[in-house]
Amino acid sequence: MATSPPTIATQGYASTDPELAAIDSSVRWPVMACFLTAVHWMVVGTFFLVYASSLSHPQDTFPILGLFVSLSDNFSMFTYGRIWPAAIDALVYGWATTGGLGLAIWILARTSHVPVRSPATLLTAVVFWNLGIAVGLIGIFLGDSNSVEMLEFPSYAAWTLWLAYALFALWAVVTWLSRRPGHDHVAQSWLLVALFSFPWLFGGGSVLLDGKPLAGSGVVQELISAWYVHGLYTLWFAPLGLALLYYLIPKMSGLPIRYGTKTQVAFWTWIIFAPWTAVHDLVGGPFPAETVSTGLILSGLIFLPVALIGMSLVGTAFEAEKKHGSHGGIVFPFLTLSAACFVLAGIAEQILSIRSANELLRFTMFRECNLFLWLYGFFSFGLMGGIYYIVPRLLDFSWRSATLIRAHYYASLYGILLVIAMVGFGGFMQGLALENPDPQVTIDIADQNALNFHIASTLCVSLIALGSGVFALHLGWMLLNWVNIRVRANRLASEILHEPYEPEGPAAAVKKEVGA
Amino acid sequence: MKHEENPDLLPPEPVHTDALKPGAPDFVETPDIEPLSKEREPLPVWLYLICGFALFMAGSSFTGFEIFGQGLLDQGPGGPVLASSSSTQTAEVTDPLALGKKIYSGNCANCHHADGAGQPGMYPPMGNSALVVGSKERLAAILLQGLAGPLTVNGGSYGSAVMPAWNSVLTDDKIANVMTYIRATWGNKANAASEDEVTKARTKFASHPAAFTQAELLQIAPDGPDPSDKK
Amino acid sequence: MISPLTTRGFFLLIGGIFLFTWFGLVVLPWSYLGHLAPIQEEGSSDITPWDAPGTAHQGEHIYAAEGCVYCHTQQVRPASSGADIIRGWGTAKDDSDDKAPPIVRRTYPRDYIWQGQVFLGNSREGADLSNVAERFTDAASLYRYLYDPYILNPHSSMPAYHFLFIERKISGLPSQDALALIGDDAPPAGYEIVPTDEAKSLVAYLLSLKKNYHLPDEKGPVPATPATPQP
Repeated sequence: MATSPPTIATQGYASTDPELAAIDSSVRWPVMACFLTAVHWMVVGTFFLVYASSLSHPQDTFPILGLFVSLSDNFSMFTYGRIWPAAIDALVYGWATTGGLGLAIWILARTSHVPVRSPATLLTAVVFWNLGIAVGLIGIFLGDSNSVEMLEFPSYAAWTLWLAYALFALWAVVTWLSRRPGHDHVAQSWLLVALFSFPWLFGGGSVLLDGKPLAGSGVVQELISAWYVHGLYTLWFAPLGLALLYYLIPKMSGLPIRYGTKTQVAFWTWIIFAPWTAVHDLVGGPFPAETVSTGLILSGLIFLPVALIGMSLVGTAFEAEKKHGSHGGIVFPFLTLSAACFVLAGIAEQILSIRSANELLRFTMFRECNLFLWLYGFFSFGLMGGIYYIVPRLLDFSWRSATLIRAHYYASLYGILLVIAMVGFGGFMQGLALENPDPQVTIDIADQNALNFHIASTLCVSLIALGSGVFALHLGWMLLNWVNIRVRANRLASEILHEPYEPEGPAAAVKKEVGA
Repeated sequence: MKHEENPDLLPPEPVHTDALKPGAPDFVETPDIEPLSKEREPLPVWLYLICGFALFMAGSSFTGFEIFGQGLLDQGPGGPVLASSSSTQTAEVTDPLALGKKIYSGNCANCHHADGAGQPGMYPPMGNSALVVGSKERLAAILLQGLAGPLTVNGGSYGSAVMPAWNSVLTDDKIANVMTYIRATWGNKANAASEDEVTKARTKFASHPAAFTQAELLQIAPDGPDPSDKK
Repeated sequence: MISPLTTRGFFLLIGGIFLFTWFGLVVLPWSYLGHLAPIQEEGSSDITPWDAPGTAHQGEHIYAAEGCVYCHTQQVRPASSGADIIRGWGTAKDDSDDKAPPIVRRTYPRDYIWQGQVFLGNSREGADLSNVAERFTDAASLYRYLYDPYILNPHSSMPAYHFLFIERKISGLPSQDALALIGDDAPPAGYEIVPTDEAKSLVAYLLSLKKNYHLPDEKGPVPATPATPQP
């Protein structure tokens, strides 16, 4: 007797709009692959970060550190100089960039309003991307690190990453060209800036600084390095995170973003002024006076786009939270936190654009505070909010526990606040000692001043790591349950139908119910 | 049928609090609205004030020092004015002969001596040596990989000492400079060597295991001026 | 953002702005700083700055592999920009003249021209290393410090680089390189601790780090002079 095959009733998380549901199902596997591998690298990188952070204060602080220190003394792999770059690169490329690519795929697909062709290209790109990161990290541990900030991956890994990105960019170009006209979204502009800038930043930085540096380049190497790092913050992470916020905040809250008429100004002034924050790493150094001075002026002007974007996003987000009550849900607060941290990161950059403040803070842990604000405060929390929002839509499955999500949120919120307080203030105290005009105040005294803040920094990072760990476990739990359904359905279907079960997907299920 | 024994197609109910239900604010499917507000909302006054202040701070960076002096470094010389005589002329040294001479005195003069005369039986002389004024590729091979074994130069026999390889100690431009120097000093009048020639030689001889012998050198090139040396 | 521009216009504008930043931050300074040459004073045969021996360049690779740059800088800022000079990081003994006062200055781009990879650094958990060879004048003291930084500073957060050394049985006479360690650090009787090749290269590199010469850049920009042809 022919019965229609049993379908798993849609859980209700997939989009009810058939067009959006079709788009979601066309990008499901590439985006899930990006997110899953990203979370994996997040766990790896966070572990290394906590480890490295704990090495910055000697073993008398906590007994267990004695073990870490003896590992670091006796094995080159465990020394700070290798673990720290491995941690940062795992977080920047493995977690943030991979997750960012997942976001980019989904937002580009959604705003193009056509289901994407050839997800296989994307999957290949993701595979090569992760291969490059794994190989690069191993290379750092084995001693092939370039010791150029965020470009430590040896060239064999860097080229794998670049090729993977090229594949992805190919897909992005095709998708962009096949978009439905007349439906342009502001998030697309931000996305395109990010997608355009990354290959030139990464390729240029890698070619010029990896392995054998250009002969006779001297201090120019430092100029290129500064250009790269701050280009990454302002032209890759910032636009990517902002694309997500500009897409999700109006969508989730139903409120259009405030000061919308000023968005053009904010957009272009950000792109013009923000990359000049590179000179924050050049003040007082052996570099031309005009470059540094022009840079300080231009980077000081990022006040305008930061204020405009901050007021737009944070203003709308707070309004939305008030409108919906209870913080606007459990995912929305991540977006609010991300928007607020964008402003805080902008303020940190603003502080560094003041010459006297820069001279005080240049070589202190304030720089780390800046990194944490960009990487964690702004980008990671936005990415996590995005993952919480997107994954149920792709898998048509629910997260397992709202408490875990709330716990993650509070660990992140207090973690990042503590980071600013401890590491930002610690940088200030360290700077006061380092720049003390009394020659009796040696660097050892500066280090002792900084010691407590280093310990605090480890604790802050550990708090954020705790939240991230909860997130990773939650994701794993959700996936296990999801796989469980599929396996059971398969087994059950094969008993009933004596053939493997082919899920038709939520879109078809919805069509059936709607059509019936 | 088995499925009657398994009424549940789905795994146990998850912790389905209200916040996670499909209708919850985060998980309800909302349509894409026009993202940017079209209201002409005026910017707050404090923004203009702080913007003006930021501009003022930025502008103040211009005062206090010259910024358009090409070559002037950030924050000026930053040291006491030189105590030594300020009237001596200084010049940048880009002349390969001067650089080559300095490299020679730091690396080669220990054995081959500053006057290029060498040591009988041990270190061959530089002046009028066929190996020095001949093929540049061959000379580069000696410098890159070293030279060992019995050697005849200008009628004298050498070989009790080994010339080490300099490929990991000197870069290509330095090897080219020292080659230019020895080819133009002590009566030698051969042409200069370029960094590209040394780079090519480095690639070519990279796989050669150890120091060259005289026989191998003659195989690289016979005696006689370098093909590029047209007098 | 994209409308009212066309897609092509949008990308041209973005690309143009990107190039503008690249040009201003990197290309323009490169035109001033990318081709600096060493200096020769009139009447002197000395060329400054001069290159370190080859093992120092190999040491650069070890410095990069161990990530020393994440805690140490190699740039001395002028007195008006920070307390680097006060901390003594810009002080070097003038080797050319015993009676001359010490050289106290910032670092200039010309100081770095012979370094393959430049490690200016952005973080000072440890001291600036531009003139570290003035404070650790011989290899033995550096080996001891690398092996156990806590001797000099019990609160140091610098790792102890035991893996750059080998503990081995003394065969015959103790090795010349063996470290003189006492107390808890000392190896058991009959054993010695010697540096590996990596430690030797690293120390050679560190010993090359001293700016014990004046540069005319201290007085102002030095124009690039064309090379004078030698007879």
